[in-house]
Formats: sequence, structure tokens, C-alpha cells
Amino acid sequence: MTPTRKKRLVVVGLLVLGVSTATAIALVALNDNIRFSIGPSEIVAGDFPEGRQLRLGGLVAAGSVSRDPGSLAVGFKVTDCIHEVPVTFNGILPDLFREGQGVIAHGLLDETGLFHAHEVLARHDETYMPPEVERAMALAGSGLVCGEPLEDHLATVRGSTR
Amino acid sequence: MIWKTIKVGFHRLGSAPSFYRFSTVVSPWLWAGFALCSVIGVYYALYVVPPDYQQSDSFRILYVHVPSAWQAMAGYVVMSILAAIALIWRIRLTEIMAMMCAPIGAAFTAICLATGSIWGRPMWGTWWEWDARLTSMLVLLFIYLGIMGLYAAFDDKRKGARVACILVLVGLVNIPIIHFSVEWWTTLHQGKTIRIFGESSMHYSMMPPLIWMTIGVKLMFGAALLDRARNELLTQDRRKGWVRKILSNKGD
Amino acid sequence: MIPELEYAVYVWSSYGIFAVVVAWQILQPVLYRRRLMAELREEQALQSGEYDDPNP
Repeated sequence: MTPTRKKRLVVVGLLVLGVSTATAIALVALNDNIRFSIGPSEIVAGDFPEGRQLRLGGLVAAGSVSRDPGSLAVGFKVTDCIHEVPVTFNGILPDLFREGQGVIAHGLLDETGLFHAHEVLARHDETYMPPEVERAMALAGSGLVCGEPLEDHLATVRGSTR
Repeated sequence: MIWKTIKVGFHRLGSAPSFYRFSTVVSPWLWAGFALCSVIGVYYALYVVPPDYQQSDSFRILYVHVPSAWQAMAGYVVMSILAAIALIWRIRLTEIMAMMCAPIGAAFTAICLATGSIWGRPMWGTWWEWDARLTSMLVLLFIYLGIMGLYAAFDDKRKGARVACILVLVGLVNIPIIHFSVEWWTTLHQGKTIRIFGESSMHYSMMPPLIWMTIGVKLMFGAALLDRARNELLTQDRRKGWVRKILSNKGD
Repeated sequence: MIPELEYAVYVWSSYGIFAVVVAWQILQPVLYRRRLMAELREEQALQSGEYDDPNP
């Protein structure tokens, strides 16, 4: 390699290194703002900007969904298996909405601790499998239940999808 | 000895007429490979693979969404390597190849964003959310468009390529951000399904179309890149002897 | 023949977008090349005096 090329190589290396460092610093500084949603525990701990629209993320607590037969109004609890936050919503729920499903509710928290959502989005996990496999797993009792660490759950899912 | 042969081979390929001949021969084969892989892949994806336990048939969008997303990112890495070589060694052909990666990469990024949005509507309940994964992918599209615009703005194509190559290397920082966005932050987009190291959380019966489509899309990237680079070479060398020879040789 | 899918509109439009963009990746270089070749041949004809002016 000629000296000129070596010099250019160093310049290119420094360019990439410099940009990466600057971006890393910026991302670490902005970390809180990039977080898309906050969990029930953070709500309970009061770790959220007050009076602002929030995105509350967690699982729909089992047995907590109550629908108003006359309207689209629905109430449910969002849980991270430690704390629960009650949510009220009036609108169309995504198809994936069900108990135990990951959801993100967008709205405001009132003084009584009730979360008024104006939008509810469903999250799905990164697992893909045919319905038969899922049924077999459900029989074996490997659906995600509170108390079971997520990592263990994923390990069971992966194990039984082989 | 082997090293020397490789080096000489590369220098030969680096000359405009031989690259022209090389790409004319190779590109149709890559297109044919893509056609074969994608026909098999789409057939498996729509007819053979079982529906997903949660998402039913909508998960079949994955088979165009994921290979495109991977190629949008892999294409950027290829472009960055070419750009670094172009900046250090000033080889004209790598400058051209790096620049021609941009429109193809942009096309795959656009497919990824559009199909992701179509998938998100029924499953998540929204066309678009500003979460880290979706936003960083949109940034990738803008970087690709920026590179194309910058290159197009220069009359001196070699100078334009060198300036745009610097932008390519600056934009490279976005690639790990896209990749790790679902791990570093809470996002609406789910985490990684396919892992190279460790187990994938996709049932094996659902894997074949993903593999076919991924290979197909890679071949397509190569084919489109050769086609575009060949055209760019012709345009830049329009006054040169070898282009005249091609013109007078055949009536195509 | 055509599989009956749930969410058919979403699935088909995704595959449609993929097909259209791929088709454009094939066509763009072909069309560009055709235009360029015609242009170059015209240029060459002009220089060599063999240009056959369509509107004399």
C-alpha cells in the first residue's frame, strides 16, 4: 500500500469512528425519549412525564377485560406481572387484542390512576408457528403466564417448536 | 502466486470493456436465478406454509418484507465497502458500483416500509408509529435518496461519486442502529425472530420460503447492480473508443 | 387455484408492491440502455455525416 493510500485509509477509518462515537453519545443522551412505551411499574413508581400523552405497554391481564354490551367501550388492565394499570378505551381494538397479548395504549393518566386510552395497538412476539403446534403447546401449558420469566417462556416455545 | 492471479484478474475486470462484457454475460443468469428462487419462494409462501397461530395468513407478508429489509441493510454494507475502496484506491469501477447500489437499496427499503405498513394495519392496528425500528428504517431510505441526489447533482461524475462515498460512510452508522433498535429500546416492532447464532423462534415448517426469497433477493440485487453499473459505464465513456466499437459491432 | 387467505387484501397488495418494484428494477436499466444507445448512434451518425435527417 502506498503512503497516500495508507493516509486515505486512516482518514476513512477516522471518519467512520468519529461519526459512530458522536451518534452513540447522542443516542445515550436521548435514551429516554427514544423509549416507545413505559410499563406499569414505571407508572406506579411515578417515573413518567406528567400531564403528557403516554404510551403504556404491557400484557393484557388475564380475566380483566370487560366490554360494555351497548357500545365499543372496553376496560382492561395492563400488567407487567408486577403492577397493573387499569385502562379504559372507546374504539376499535386490533384483531390481535386478547388476554395475555402484548398491547400499547396511547393516552393520558388521570389523578385516580385510570389510564384513558384513545388508541390501543397490539404487539405480537417474534414467534411464528402453525396453530397445531400452538395447540399442542397450550395443552402442555406453555402459554406465557405471570410469574414465569420471559426468557424461560421463550426457551419453552423454542424447545417445543423443534 | 494465487494472490497475484487474483490481483491481475481484478485489474482486468476493472477495465471498462471487460466489465461490460462480464456484466452482459453474468446478469441474465442472476436474473434467471432470482426468477427461479422467487417462484419457488412465493409458491411455498402462499400455498404450502401453514398459517400462523396468532396472525393467521397475514404473517405471509413476512416473506417479502423480511428479505427486502435484510437486503436493504446488506446492500448498504456492500455499498460502504465499495465506497471505502473507492475512496482509498480511487478505482473508478468501484465508485460506479457504490453509486449504483443506492437506487436498488432504496427500492428494497421502500418495499420493506410499504409492506411493513400494510402488515401493521391489521395486526398492530396502525399504519405507522414513530418507534425506533420504523424510524431508523425511514432514515435509511432518506440516506439512500440523499446519496442518489448528491451524486446526480455533480456534472463531474468522478468527483460526485467521491463526495457521495463520504456520505455513504457517514450513513453507515444507521445500520447497527436499525439492527439493534428492537433490543436497545422498547419498540412496537417485535424482536428478532431469525438468529444466525442460537435458535430462531420460527417453526421449521415456515422456514423454506424465507430462505428461497432471501437468496432470490440477493441474486436480484447483484443482477440489478451489474445492469445499472454497465449503463453508467456506457454513459460516462460515451466518447471513448470501446463504446464506439460496441455501437458499430451490433445493432442493439 | 388462488389460495383463499384471511387478510387477503393485505397479503396480495404486499406481494403486488414487491412485484411492481422488482419489475421496475428489471425495466429501468433496459429502457435507459435503449434510450442511450439510440442517442449514441445518432451522435455517431451526425459526426460521420451519415445522419439521415427525418425532417429535412
